[in-house]
Amino acid sequence: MVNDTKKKSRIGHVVIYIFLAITTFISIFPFYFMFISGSNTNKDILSNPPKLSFGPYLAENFKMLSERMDILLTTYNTLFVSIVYTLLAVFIYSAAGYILAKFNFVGRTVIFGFIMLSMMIPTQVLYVPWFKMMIGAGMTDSHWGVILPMLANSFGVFLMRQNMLSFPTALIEAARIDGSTETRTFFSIVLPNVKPALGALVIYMFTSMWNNFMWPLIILGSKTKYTFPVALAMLDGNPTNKNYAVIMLATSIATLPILIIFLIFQKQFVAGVMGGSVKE
Amino acid sequence: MKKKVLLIFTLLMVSMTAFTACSKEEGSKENENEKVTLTVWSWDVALKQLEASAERFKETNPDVEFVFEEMGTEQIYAKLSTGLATGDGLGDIITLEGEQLSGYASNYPEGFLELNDIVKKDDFLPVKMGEVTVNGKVYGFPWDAGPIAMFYRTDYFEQAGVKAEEIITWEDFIEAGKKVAATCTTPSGDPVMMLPIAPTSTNFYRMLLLQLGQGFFDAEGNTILNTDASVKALNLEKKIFDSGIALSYNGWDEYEGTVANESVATIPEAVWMIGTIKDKAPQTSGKWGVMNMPAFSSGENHGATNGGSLLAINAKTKNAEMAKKFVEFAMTDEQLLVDGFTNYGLYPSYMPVYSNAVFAQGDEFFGGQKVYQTFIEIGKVIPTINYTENFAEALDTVGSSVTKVLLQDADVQETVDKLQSDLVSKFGK
Amino acid sequence: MKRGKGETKSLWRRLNSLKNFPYFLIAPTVIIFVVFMVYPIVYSLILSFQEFKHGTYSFVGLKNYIVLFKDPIFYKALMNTFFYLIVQVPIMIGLALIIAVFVEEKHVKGKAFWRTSIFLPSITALVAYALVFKVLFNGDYGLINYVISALGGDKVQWFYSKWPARFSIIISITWRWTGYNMIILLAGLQAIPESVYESAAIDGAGFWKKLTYITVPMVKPILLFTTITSTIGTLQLFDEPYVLTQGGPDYATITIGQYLYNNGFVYMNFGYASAIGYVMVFIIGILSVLQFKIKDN
Repeated sequence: MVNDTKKKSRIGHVVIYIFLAITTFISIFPFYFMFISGSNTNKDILSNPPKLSFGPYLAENFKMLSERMDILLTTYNTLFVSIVYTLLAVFIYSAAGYILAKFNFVGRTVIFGFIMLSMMIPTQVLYVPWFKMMIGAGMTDSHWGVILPMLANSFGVFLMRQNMLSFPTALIEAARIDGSTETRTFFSIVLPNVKPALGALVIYMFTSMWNNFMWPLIILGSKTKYTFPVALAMLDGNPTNKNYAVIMLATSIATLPILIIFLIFQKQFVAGVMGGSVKE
Repeated sequence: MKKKVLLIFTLLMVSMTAFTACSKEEGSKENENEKVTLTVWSWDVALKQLEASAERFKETNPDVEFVFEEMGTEQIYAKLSTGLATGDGLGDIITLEGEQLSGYASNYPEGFLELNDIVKKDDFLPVKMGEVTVNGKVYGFPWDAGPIAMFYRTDYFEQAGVKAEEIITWEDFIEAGKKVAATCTTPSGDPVMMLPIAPTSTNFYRMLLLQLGQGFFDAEGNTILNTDASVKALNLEKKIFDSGIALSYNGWDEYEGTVANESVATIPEAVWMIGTIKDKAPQTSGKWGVMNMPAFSSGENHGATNGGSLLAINAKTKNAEMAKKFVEFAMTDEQLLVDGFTNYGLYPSYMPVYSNAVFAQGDEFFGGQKVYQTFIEIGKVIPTINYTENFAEALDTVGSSVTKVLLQDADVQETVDKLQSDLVSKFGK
Repeated sequence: MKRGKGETKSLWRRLNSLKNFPYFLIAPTVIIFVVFMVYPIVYSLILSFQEFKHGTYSFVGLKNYIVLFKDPIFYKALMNTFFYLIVQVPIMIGLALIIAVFVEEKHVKGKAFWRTSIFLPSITALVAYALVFKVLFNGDYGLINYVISALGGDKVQWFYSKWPARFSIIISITWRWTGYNMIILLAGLQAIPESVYESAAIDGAGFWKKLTYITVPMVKPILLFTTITSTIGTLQLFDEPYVLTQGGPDYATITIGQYLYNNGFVYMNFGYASAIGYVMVFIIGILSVLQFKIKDN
């Protein structure tokens, strides 16, 4: 009887490992395919079966790509909008989250209620008005035009509020009794103690802007201002003369930075999704 | 912690100033530069041709700098539909497909520069003048035209015992196609089909419709998709598709593949297909001919057109005069147009160049046939049709109707009636 | 100079008073949401009663809505979006739950590795991964078709026939988002006290019993959270059909978000696009209320 259960659970273990291995393979394979395809030719990719190992054409593809897309400038553009957006968002949302979680003031329910409700507004609805506003402000075809409207991100506020809720109120009150000003309390007591949440917010904001496609596509006109997703779509848009190797190389270059950041900060990434921490 | 916050703020400030500095730099650059800079949006061979034109233009206008940006058509249109409201971030000179101009020009009448003064109406093929004229004003400079003829494989025809000159009507064409499909095989051993058809695209239907002298809209912009001509065209497409002589394909890659793999005996396509055929199937040199399109057994038989582009100038350009000068030069200089034609198959719509010896030459790839004369004749009988601001949307919807008829066996009459009423409800006319 | 200093000081003090402080800190958020959320919502409502033609906007009353309710493509987009919702969301959440439970199993080694690699897809840009899938799904040369034909099946024209096109999009979204939901569920699973499982094990409960009687009920709130966020995400679906199928063939894969985009930014019917947006808001509102009602029960 005991043996039987053991055997059963051993089979169960094997099943679990096989399942996880397959899922992991499916999750990782497209990345592998993308990276190796960037070093092959268009013909290698469009053959039966496609070539599945690294090829010698990386330099050549890179040269072709740099003729059609300014890689450095695109990287700078994407970094710029992502970093500025993230910095602004972190400051604004952590302040908002703190206030919404720890203070009682007139209008709190209305403000928080509206922010929660606006999570349900499909972003596409906002594009037309945003676009007209940006025309009015003379901010079309500018990076600020990409950044500013995107700051109305309800999930970011929500994430910070949830994290601030669990911050011990006693600490804040103790600081007040010690004569610390409200500003000081916020900057030197509250913020340092919610570092994991801040890390999570940073990563959430950064990736969402790095990967943002539709709004930059609408607002950015000049090639010199494109971010990666827009530049990639442009590269793919030419129906004749399509070179998938070059496209895959460009995709790899666009994915690499975020992949590296992810591997370095994976704990915060994972924690960031829920705003809570995941144990080992 | 305070330090870190400070650091974040400093970083923020630095990046902000860096940004303003950047944008200032751009501004000052233009000021200190006495040279005029023209940004040109184009794609593919058109881009290459414009680059060559720019080199020639600079010989006499050394103060002009050109910036060329390669963009696909979809991207250009995505930018135009929003960017034309302000003109910000658009190129100075923009290439468009002929049929697309009317949508942008009628929605944004202030978006493009009027070119009435430099486009001389009688110099261009009437069909192109139709494309560039929107509400009585000329908003684009006509470039290449796409008169359609039937490319055919002389070797396959011979093998099947089919004679090109005996194919007069589409009925003849279908019969000949059956013979070809029964007798010929491709180098890889598959049966040869008579022609390629994309069941999810409107190309073949629009071509047939044009042969009957109409487009999607009448001169007043009313939708006319349930006319007899429309039913006739769609019925014929379905008949050809169902008769087992068509090779179904999807997308440009596969279209090229039908040529490269030698799997079709004919291709009804515009003159620019010459370039693709030579490029993708060099092994078939000498095995091609060009004939007139088969006719509908009764009714009118006009020429048809597919593709062909034009140049438009952003109304907010800082260098309107120079842009106009360049466009006029690139689009009317005989040597440039001839080069564009021989190098890239850009078939000019500027009629004065037709007298050039190049167009009277025979082509070895086509067994010495004087193919260009055929296209010149067809070019003159293409009907002028109205595109209107609703063309892009109608094109999508028509495409879905064609798909329904060809792939889902929908009734032709019902489908076009529904198409007509849906579009009338949407466009209000 | 002195006076200025005094002013800043009193401003500083005023800012720091318990009464004022919250307003100062919440102000940026309020301003941003008023400017970029409240105003556009009102604006697009007004826009939805207007028509853009020949460079000007004119008031047309309910016309856009009337046309919309007769627009067959809108219904197609609606049906497609609901199809994705009904088929894709349950598959994905179910898969995410199973993976999370497996990774959380006590004896499973290399938890961090499995977690990280399965989460990996959700960091990719939508455009980037859609491009990779476009190549993998290619009808003639795609690896997926190669595997299918190697296994003895027929090649599938993924992007050119109705159902395969829809499934190509479902497969792509599932690949992109399963890991993300898995992590969320993982956080929920870890909150379940070990003792609950232990006592269940003593009672002789097997794997499935534990899953259905303990795990699922305990993570119910988190399941609801993932379902709601996935629902909102699916209703706004745009990038994948835009890159993979352009909404075709015959509008078989078009989503509401994409139809809105086409009308506004391709056909330049900004008023009509706003009307679509408003109908969308209405639908999302109803769905959210429904889902919360279910939760209350």
